[in-house]
Amino acid sequence: MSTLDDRVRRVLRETAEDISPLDVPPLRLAGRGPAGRGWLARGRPPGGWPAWLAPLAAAAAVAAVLAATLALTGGPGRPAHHQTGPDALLASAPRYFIVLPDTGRTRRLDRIKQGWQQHAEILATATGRILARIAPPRLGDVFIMVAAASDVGRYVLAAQHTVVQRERTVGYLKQKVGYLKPVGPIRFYQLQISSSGRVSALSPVPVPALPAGAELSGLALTPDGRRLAMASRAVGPPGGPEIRVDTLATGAQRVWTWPGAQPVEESLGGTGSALSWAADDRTLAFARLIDGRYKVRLLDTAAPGRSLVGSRPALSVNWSGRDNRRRFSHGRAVNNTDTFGALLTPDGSKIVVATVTQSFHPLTSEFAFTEFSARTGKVVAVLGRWWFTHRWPEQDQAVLWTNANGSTLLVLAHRPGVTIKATTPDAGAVFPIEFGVLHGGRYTPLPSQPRLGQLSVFPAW
Amino acid sequence: MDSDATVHPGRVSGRETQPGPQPPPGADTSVTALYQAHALGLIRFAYLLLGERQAAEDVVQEAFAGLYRRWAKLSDPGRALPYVRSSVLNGCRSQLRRHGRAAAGLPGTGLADGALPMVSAESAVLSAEQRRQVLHALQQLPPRQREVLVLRFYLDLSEPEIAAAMGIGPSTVRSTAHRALGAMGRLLEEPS
Repeated sequence: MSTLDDRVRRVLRETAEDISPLDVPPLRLAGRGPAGRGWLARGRPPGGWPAWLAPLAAAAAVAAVLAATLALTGGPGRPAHHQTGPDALLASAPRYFIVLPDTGRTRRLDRIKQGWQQHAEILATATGRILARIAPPRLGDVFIMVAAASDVGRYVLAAQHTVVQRERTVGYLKQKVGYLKPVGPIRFYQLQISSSGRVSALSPVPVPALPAGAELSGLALTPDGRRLAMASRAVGPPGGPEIRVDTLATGAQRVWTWPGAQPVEESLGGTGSALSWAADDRTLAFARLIDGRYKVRLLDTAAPGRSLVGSRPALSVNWSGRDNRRRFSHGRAVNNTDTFGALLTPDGSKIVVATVTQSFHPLTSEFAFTEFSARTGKVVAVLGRWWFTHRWPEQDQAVLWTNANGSTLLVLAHRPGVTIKATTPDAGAVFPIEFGVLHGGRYTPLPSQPRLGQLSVFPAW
Repeated sequence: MDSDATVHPGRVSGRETQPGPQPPPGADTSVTALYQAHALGLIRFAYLLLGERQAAEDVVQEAFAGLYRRWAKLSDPGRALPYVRSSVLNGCRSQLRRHGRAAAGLPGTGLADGALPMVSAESAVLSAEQRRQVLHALQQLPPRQREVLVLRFYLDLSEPEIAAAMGIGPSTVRSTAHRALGAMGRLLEEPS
């Protein structure tokens, strides 16, 4: 547990103790039906809430975080995308993808004892047809991350043994529930999909397992499927990120570390991958979230050295949180910018990021898929953008695959053109998100939409 | 998902105040037992979100009254606690919205300065200044991030349970918590 976690927990618990058990009033159920509102009426509004006046000042418009050199494909006020039916766009994407529809983070114990077993699924991108369901190699193992080299049909899955924790009885039915916690070393397995869609059996990847206690935060295959990169948090002090690259054919292995530094991770809370390769088989992009900045660095895996410090900073996007200052971003003054994940294009020229910007006055949010130059960190293109008059509802967006030059993306996105339904002003808006192919101004949803509610790892193409 | 993470009471409390079918016999006992077991934690939870003791009590009372009215419709009594927890959360949102503290787009919504829970003299584990700093940082977060942190660190809920209470996906819970802690770290000037 981090110091910050501990601090927040302690403050919340200590503050909550302002309410003592003696303060709990008896339950009032006299108002059965509508009469029950009586006691609500006597509830006085919490007083003393000072109106907050946002000191927004036009003069505060400061440095441009994102350059104004945008290749805009749409303008505010209308969706930039046009949803189309299945068409050639789908054909331009990888033919298959792998998904973990249920990582088993919580299961009822009775189901577990009845032999519940997780499966990975291989699906056809264009049709959504399930080609295969792959069970973990050993009973009690759970797949925790996947990587794909779709050009050559190679897929790698990381698996870890699990144990039931926090077993307890809940509810009037006395149901036993628990949580599956991965323990032990992380092992790697692979499978191959032929061009005709034939899925091979799962087999071990001939690389060492990550030791027990390591936390896997990134997994990526080179586009040719020859090398496997994994990012983890080093076990024991001083901690810090560790990136390991294994050459699958020879067993050669290299490790880079950055003792004490922030971990390699994407900004989606562990649902995507923090690593991506260029097609040169040597340039590896890794992402970290540091002090509100989403930073991507490029590691030359062919260069000598064992330190990640020597990697080259390529991108730094500021997430200003609820910042009162305004910046010029995506062609408009905005209060904050947020990012989700990052992928290096195989040609190594761009870093593609899902972004959201918010402007408080007037209240608007804008989603986009933004391409930054891997050389300068400047915006070079925005593939899709749309805005709405609500706060960003903190729903994730992500770019999950890119073609060689970033002109075609597989994304997790708000469904373009669908009206956003505001629920509560404070909770933002609710809108459907889905997986789709984005190319220029055209967007095509995938025919098979994995159920996001059950996902804790995004699919890999 | 087979967890108890699929209960989504209506977000608008007004719907739940409409006349409904009479609760079945025994509902009093069941709801009262649930209240006795969980009222303190839920009032404290609401207090952390609202910053006001009376409002917190009212929200929890309303949530249990709603549960009582809908008891007959509850297909699985084991879901009563997730249901009422989610109702409390929605009630807090309604309270904040109703009184204009969560006007769309205004930063610092929710816990305003004047509504921060007071530092109690009895709990001196952390200094008052440290608590003030953390509470002030929490106040700066967007409401949803603050909710995730309170659900996670005060109620000690799992990701699926938080997802159920908030009506969002588990992955969103994770990313929201991630961002919230990142923002807290920045606000407190320490790495998250």
